[in-house]
Amino acid sequence: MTGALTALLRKEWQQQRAAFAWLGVFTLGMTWVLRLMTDVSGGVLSYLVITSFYCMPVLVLIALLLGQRMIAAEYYGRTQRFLEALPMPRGLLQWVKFALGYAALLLLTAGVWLYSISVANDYEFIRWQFVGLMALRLLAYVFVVWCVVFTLSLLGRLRLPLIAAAAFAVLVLDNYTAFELNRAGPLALIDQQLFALERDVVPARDLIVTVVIGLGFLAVGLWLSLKHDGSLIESLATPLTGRAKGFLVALVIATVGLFAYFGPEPEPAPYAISDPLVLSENRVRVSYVDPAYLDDATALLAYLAERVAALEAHIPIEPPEFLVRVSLAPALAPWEYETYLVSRDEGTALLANYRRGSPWDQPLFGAFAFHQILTAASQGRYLLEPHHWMVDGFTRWWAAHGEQAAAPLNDAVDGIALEALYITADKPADANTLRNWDASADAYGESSVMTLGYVAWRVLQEEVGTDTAMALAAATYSLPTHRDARDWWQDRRESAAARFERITGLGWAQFNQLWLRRFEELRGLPAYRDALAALPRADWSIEPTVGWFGSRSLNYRLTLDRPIAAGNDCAALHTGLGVYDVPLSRAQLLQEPLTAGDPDEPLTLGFELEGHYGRDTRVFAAIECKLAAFPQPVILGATRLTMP
Amino acid sequence: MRPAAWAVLMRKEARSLLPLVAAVIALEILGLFDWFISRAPDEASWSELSVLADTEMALGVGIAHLILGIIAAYMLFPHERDQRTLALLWSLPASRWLIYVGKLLTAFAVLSALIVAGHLLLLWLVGEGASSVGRAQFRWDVWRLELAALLGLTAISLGYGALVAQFRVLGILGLIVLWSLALYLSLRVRGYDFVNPATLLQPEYRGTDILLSGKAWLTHALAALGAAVLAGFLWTRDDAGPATVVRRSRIRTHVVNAAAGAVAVLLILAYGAGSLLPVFQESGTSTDGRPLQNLVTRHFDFSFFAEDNAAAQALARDADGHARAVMKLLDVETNRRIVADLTDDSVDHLGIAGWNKLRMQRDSLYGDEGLRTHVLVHETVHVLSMIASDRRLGEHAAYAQFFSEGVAEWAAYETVGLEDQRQALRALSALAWNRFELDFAQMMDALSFRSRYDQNLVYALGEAWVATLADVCGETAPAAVLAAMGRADAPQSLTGVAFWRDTLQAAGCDLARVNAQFDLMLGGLRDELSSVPAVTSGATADGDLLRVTVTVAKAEPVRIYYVHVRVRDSAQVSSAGMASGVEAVATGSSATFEFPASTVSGERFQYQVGLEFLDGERPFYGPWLDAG
Repeated sequence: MTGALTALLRKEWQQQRAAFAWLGVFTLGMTWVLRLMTDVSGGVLSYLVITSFYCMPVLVLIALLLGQRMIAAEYYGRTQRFLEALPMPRGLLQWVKFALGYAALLLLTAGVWLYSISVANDYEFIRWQFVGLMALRLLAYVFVVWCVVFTLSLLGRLRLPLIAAAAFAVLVLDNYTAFELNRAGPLALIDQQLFALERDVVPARDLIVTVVIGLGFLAVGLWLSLKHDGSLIESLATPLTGRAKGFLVALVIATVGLFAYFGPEPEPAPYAISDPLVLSENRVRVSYVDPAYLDDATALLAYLAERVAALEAHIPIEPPEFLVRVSLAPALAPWEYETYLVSRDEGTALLANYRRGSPWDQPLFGAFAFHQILTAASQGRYLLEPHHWMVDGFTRWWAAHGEQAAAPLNDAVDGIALEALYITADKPADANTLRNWDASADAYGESSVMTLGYVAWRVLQEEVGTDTAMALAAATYSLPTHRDARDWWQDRRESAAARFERITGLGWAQFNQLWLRRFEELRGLPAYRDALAALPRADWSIEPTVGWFGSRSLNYRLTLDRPIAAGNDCAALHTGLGVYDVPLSRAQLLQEPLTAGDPDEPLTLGFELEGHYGRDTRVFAAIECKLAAFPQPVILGATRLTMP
Repeated sequence: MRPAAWAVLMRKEARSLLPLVAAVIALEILGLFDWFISRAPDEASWSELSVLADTEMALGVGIAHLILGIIAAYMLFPHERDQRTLALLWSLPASRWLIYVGKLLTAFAVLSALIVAGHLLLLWLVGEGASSVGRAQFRWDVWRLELAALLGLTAISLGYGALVAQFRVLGILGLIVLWSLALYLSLRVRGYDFVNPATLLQPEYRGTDILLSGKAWLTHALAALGAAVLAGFLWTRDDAGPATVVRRSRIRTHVVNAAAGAVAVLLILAYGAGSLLPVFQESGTSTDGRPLQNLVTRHFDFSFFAEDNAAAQALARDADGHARAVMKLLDVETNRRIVADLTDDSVDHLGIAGWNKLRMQRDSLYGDEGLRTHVLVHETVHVLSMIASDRRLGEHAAYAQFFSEGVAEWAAYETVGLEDQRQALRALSALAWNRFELDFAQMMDALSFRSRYDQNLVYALGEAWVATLADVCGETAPAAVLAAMGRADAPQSLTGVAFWRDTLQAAGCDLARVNAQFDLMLGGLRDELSSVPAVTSGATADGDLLRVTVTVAKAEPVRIYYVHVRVRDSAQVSSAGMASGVEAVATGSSATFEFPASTVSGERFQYQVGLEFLDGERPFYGPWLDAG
């Protein structure tokens, strides 16, 4: 026995010593690199993290290489037959390979560990208890790594698919279930924080789990290596057989089983406003932060509750937990709203400064709220361009009128239609305005563009009747959405334009013409003409310049043909852009006040944005004014430019 | 050799790459699945699909293509020797070099076909996109550049891979070490990022132009060509291959193995000698000869240089009392001793903390007594927060840094006092909040916030937010939030606002309510701070100098402010890598700051101007601005 053991050890040593030496050199190099990288990272709490970095992934790589050389190569070369023919106990060969591999890995790891201790010791006291704790972690970790690699290396052609499958299974578990890889067993032992900084607590659970996993793998490996006198392992050192493929399938099934066993990640609790100052009615909840705002909250609740209930009569809103929540956000401008939650299951949570005053416009907020309700119900599908104009138009109309019949556009000046006419005075709408709705929103502003949708919806109602228009809305907004390729396929089977034509009887091109014609008709009506004439016209420019000391400026200039009402103002908007244009929301834009620089020219406003954007930076810049006639600021000019 | 024979040979080489082809196709399909399973294909846009539109994606794709090429090369060469087919190859009526080049060309053709197919798939997906804005993003020139870059990267990686494959495992190990060193060099030495091959696909944006580094491409193209030629030389010269050349000569085998063994033994001895001795000592000695001392209190285990003994003793005097106060505030019970390392020489920070350990900047021991206590308590809060949240606070750092720093500042002020400093910090946060029109989402996004604004603002804003939390939901709310993060059933996949909504709800509070009050509180200070003058600036790179000119807006009466200017290469640079200057400037006046051009790696740089609006307190810095 002793002779056989010595002979085997000598054989392995002679065969692997070069590999051990080269792996030692590699370890030395990587330790040096890890030290350098630790220094570069800054904020080092302890140089003991070098060991942690080494354990994952460098040690694993070394173990895989050792496994390949010591075990897999032996079986592939069929040289184990010679060894098995020698007079020695069964299993001794495997034990020797296991022990030698483990010892080699431990030696290399110990080198790195002692080095990291020597560096860390310059800054902290490292006591025996801590040394013992780290040693315990490393013994267990190296053990499990080698046990896993040892067993996998015995599996011949199966080992690579198995390594891939195991890695995949662990990643699936980590990403899609409550299981957390870095907090369990082996990886928890070498966690950067815990390995290098935990000095007191023995991680008993992780140690036990790690050793049990290691023993499990080792037992499987030894059993396999002795099964049928080693012929099973030898047979695996050949191309994949049908049985092997079956084994892989079983493994995949086991993976799925594991997934089911651990179960999915726990869902967050449904959102509930915990503000004690909350009003509720049906699906609507309004929180108001301070008793001073009770009346404002009550008014908003009454409005929303009535409109939401009426909407539900036409369009199913599922499930019962779908709530419309509004919280007061006092810092927001009265026409700015934020979305806090959009969920098909939970509904919406919105933020608005709904304290009533002249700038607060309930229908404007209502349009936003219904827009977000439809967005939540469709999981965002209705924001896709072919559907978006109708969502904007329908919700602006519903928020303004609800079930009540609206006066025909011709009869009296409709404020929303007037805004649509005003914003299109210099940039007329055309046949592509509805079709390329994202580009239209970019040109007119995401909030103002809703007024164009509103006019389109009103024209549709006038043309086909409110009932048919509502039938179109109901048909569209009742379609199931899945947030996957089924939505795309559904739209390919029947596009939004085809559905429009089927329900309304109007061809898309025909409707576009009607809409544009009505637009111009409205513009020509005396009431609208007079109202438009009362609004200021603007001449604007936004020019980039280079200053004498190299600073880049954006010069905004706006000339109005009449003063805007007191209390209203104009602003310069800007934001940096990436290399591609993407839809911008108002919340992304920074705002600076436009002021009259020359008292003799009170109608000329300007602003110089100096030094904010450097050379070659792309910028979106715009000028907007808040006019008394409209509930929200309107963009008078916008451009995208590159700083010189 | 006849074309037909060539075709057979190339088919053979292509067949040996089949597993790789299958793996790549599987990965492509998996990638495509995302567009069918978690969203619809008509939501696709070029800006999302284009590799060069996203620097992070470009880095990942670049590394993946480098590895792909190296694997392909590895699959071409060693197996010929293993399967003893090399002799057959050599017997063909073609030169060995021709066969070698044929192998590489086949691999390039196979990988190129996959890359082109993948890019055609992108074209189809972009065509399915429903958005007019998304469709307008597509540019043929970028599509072509991207395709050419990926093909070029594949060619380079095949060149490197051919050399690696000649040395088999040693080649792989060498590659790992060299690549790690290149990464280190790119991070450590200004202007040397081109040595890291992963930067080949790193785009630079100038307006709508996308540029790739010509220097990096030239360097790696030449290096890969050299590697391919050397590999060809080795492969064609010796039938047994370079990896076995040494094995054939027993003398050289012994020499190489002995050398490697000696290095390994030296390595172990060096590790041991360098480490074991200090471990046995009760009082350690740092490598520069300064003895360390140790002081253990009820809650701390201080280590410091012996020469700092008096200052450390002074700091430790009240430390336990403060620790107990913080434990009460955060509702933490622990018997652990916090390891407090007082030897940090970093210029980046006054202190850092992690699991059960903190490090304090050594110089801060000799600063203002209130400040050093504040730093100790601040870092202690970090340590205890990690315990209270079961380390979750660190895991959610990408969107919880403001809270992490905020709760540390809040608890430190609650414990130590320093009311004047707290008010100054509050004013700073109000200035930033109102002038930058910040919102919760911006404050929460640590990475984006740091790249655009002064990173110290996170402390000010965080403190104000946590104070608001305590106001709105009670003094125990910050502790409840930490406990909520660490609760066993907390969904760990939540991020950003959803994470905060869920966490505050679990803590019995409401994010919207806290944010509303936070807005009111900071908005209420707007008028009070309106007198702080604006500062305008411009900067230029001029030969050996970077010049930053600042102008403080006019104000009555005229007042002198200290103006601070900082210059950096990019957002990736830590504060230690920045140059800074300070000058006194009167309102209505200008000043020019000059920095050596060597401060930054190129002509383009970023700078930031700060105004010390309260004497002796932290300056109010504007956003980082691009220049050059």
